[in-house]
Amino acid sequence: MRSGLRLGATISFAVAAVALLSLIWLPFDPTRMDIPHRLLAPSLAHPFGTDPYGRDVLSIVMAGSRTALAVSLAAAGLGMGLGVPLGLLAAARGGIADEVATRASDVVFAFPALLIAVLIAAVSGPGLIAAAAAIGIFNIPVFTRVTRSAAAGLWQRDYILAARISGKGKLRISLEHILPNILGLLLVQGAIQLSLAVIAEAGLSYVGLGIQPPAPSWGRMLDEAQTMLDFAPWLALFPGLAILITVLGFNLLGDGLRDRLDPRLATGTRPD
Amino acid sequence: MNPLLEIDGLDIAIGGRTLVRSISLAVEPGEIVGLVGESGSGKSLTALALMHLLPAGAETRGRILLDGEALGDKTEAELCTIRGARIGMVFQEPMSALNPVMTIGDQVAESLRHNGGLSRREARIRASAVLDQVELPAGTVPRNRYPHELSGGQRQRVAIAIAIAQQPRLLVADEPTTALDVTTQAQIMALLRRLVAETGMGLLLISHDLALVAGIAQRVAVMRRGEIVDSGASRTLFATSRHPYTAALVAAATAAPRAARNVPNGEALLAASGIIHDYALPRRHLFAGARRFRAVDQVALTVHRGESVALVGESGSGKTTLLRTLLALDRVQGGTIRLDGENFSGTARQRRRIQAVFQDPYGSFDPRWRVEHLVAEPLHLLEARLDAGERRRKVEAMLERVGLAAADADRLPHEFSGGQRQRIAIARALILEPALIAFDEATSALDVSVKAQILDLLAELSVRQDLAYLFVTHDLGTVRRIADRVLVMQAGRIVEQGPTEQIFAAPSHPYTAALIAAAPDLWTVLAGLDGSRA
Repeated sequence: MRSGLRLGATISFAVAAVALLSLIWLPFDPTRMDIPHRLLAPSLAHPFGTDPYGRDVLSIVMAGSRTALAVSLAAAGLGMGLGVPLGLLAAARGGIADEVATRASDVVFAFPALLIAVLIAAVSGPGLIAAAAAIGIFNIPVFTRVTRSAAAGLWQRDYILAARISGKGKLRISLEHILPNILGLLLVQGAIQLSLAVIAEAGLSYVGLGIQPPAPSWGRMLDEAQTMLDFAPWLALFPGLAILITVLGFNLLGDGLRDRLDPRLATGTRPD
Repeated sequence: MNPLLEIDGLDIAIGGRTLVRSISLAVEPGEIVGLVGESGSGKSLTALALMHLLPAGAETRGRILLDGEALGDKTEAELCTIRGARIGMVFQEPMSALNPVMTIGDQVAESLRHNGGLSRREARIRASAVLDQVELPAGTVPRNRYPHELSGGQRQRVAIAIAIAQQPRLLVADEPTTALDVTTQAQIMALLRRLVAETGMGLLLISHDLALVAGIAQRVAVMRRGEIVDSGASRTLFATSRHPYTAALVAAATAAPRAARNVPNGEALLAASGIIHDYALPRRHLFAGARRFRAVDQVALTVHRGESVALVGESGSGKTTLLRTLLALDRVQGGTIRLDGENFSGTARQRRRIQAVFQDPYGSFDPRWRVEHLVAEPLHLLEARLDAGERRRKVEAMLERVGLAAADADRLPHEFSGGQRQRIAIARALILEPALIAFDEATSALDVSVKAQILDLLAELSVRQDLAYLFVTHDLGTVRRIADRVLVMQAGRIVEQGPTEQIFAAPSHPYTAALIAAAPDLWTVLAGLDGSRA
C-alpha cells in the first residue's frame, strides 16, 4: 500500500518539522508561568489550553517533540551503530564470533526491556542521556539479529563467492556488498525502533525516570495531567495525541518501507 | 469421437500484453503430447489456463474443451470438481508442491476425501494403493513419512500420486523432472509412460528438453514467443524439421561431440591429490561425539594447460564441495593442491590464475552494481590500481570479446537475460587473463539455444588463448560438447576418468554407464524411433 508509506512519511516529516520549528519559535515560552491564566480550556489564544501553572500546552507539546525525537534518534542510533557492525561480524566470521554475538543478543532479549531501562535510569540518575542509553542498549540486539540473519543469507550468494575469488577480504565484502544490500531492511527496522523508543521514552518519563523538569516531555505531561483529568482533560489529551500520531507515523513509515523494499514484491524486468 | 482435450484458438493476455496467441492443441485418451519451448515461450501459462489457475488480471479468449465440454462456461465451484478429479497436475519442484507438515499418506488421502467423498479410513487405504501404483511400496516408504524425509525422485512420485489419485482423464506435467538427476528423471519418465498405458489417461508433458519429450511423446508441439510454430508426430518432426526454429533447437540439442584435440600433455596447471572434505553433522545428544559426513574422499585431479576437463556427478556427489576447495573458498582439510607447481593457498597472485563462473545467472551479480563495476571486480587482485579510464577500456574490451556491447557497461544486471548474464560472468572471469576458469553448472540454468551459444563462445575463447576449463556439471550433453577429458564422481570419490570419447563409447564403471544411459540424447532417441518403425 503506497498511501501508507506516503502518510507515514508525511507524519514523520511533520513531527521533525515541528521539532525543528520549536528550536527557533514557540507561541509562548513553555517554562514561563502565568498563574492568572491557569487551567484555561482550549481557545484561540491557547489552542491546547493551559496547565495548572498557566503555561501554554501547545508550546510544551511542541517543545516535547524535540525530546521525543532526540531520545528516540539517539537510542535507535546507538542500537544501529553497535548492533549492525556486530551482526555483520557475526555473519562474516561465523563460528565462535557468531555464537558469542547470537548468545549475547539472546541474553539481552531475555530481560524485560522496559524494566531494565527503569533500572538503568534509576541507577544512573534520570535524564535525557540516561534514557537514551537505557533504551538504546535494547536496540543493539535487535539490529544485531536483523543484520546477522540477512547478511548470513547473502553470504551464500554466488556474487559473494565471485567477490571472494576476486581476492576481497571479509571486511571489504561486508562493506561493499552486504551492507548496501541490507540497508533497506535496516531502515525499516530503524523506523520501527524509533516508534518503540518514543513509547519507551514516554513510559520512562511517566514514571519519573526519564526527562526531568523543566525540560518538556510528553510522558511526564501525561503523568502530571492524571490527577486533573476530571476538570482539565486537555492536559492529557494533547500529549497523548502527540505520542499516538508520532508512533503511528513511524510505524506507517516502517511498514511502507518494508512493502516497498521487500525483494519478493520488487518487480525487476528480466527479458529472456 | 471427441478428443479428450481440445484447445482451440487460445489467447492469454496479462496486463494488456498478449503472451499466448491462438494456441490450438488436442490430446487423445492414452496419448502423450509434448509441449516444447524455451523459458518465456508461454508453455506454462497454457497449462495454467487449462486448470483456470491463471494469475488475477489474466484474460483468455478461445475455447478449452474437456471431453467436449467447454471449461470456459464453468463456475468456480464446478471447476473445483474438475481440477483433481478430471485433470491432474504435476509441477516442477516437488518440495514446494507438497505440504511440508503433512505425511505423504495424508496428502494423497486428502485429495480423495475432498472430492471423492470417501471416509477417512477408505481414503487412507486407497491412498496407500495409489502410492503403490507410483512404485512407492509401503514397506520401503511408510505412509507416515514427511516430504523432507524423501529423496527428490520420491517426492515427485508423491506429487504424481496426488495428481492421479482421483483417476483423472488428463494429466498435465509441467517440467516434472527438471529439478531431478538424470537417472531419477529416467525413472519418473518410465513411470509416467506406464501410468498412461495402464489407465488410458492423456498426458500433456511440458518441457524445455527436446530429447526427453521426443523419447516419450507421440506428438509434439513447439512453442515460441506464445505461439505454436511447429507440430507433428515426434518421430518425424525432429528428423525432418521443416520449421527453422525447430531445426535450430534440434541443432542446439544435437551438437556434434567435440573433436579430439591434441592437448599439450606436458605441464600440469592445477594438480590436487588426496583431497578430503568433511562436514560436521548435528550431534545426536549433548555428550555424543561429533559425527562427520565425508563429502569428498581422497580425490586426485589434474588439469593441464589449455585443457578442458569435466567433473560429472549427480547432486550430492561432492563435486561442488570439491570445487570450493579447489578455488580456496573453503579451507583444505586434507590433501594438497598445487598450482603451477607451487602450493596453492589462495594468495592474490595465485587467485589471478584461477577464476570462476557460477550457476545462477541471477544470483552471480550484486544487483546494485553496474556491469562496469561488476566485470572490473577481479582487478582488485592486481597490485597496481588502474585509473578509471584504463579500467573502463579493459571492461569494454572484455564485454566485446564475450559478444556484448561496450555500452552495456553502464547497465544494471537485471536488464540482461540469463544468457547475457552468463556472458557478463565470463567477461568477469576473463578480465585478469587467467590460466583456468572453473564453471559450476554454469549452463544448466540456460535454455538450450542459449546454452549452445555460450558453449560456442567458450570453445572460441579457449582456442584464442591458452586457457584451461574445469566444468563441474551433471549435464552430459555439455560435457560431450566441450570437454577433452571427463572425471566421474560418485559419493565423494572419482570412480572413473578418461578422454571424453572413450568414456562415452565404453564406460567401464557401472555408475558411468547408468548416467550415460539415463541422459536423454536426441540422436539416440530418434535412432530408436526409426528402429521401432522399421
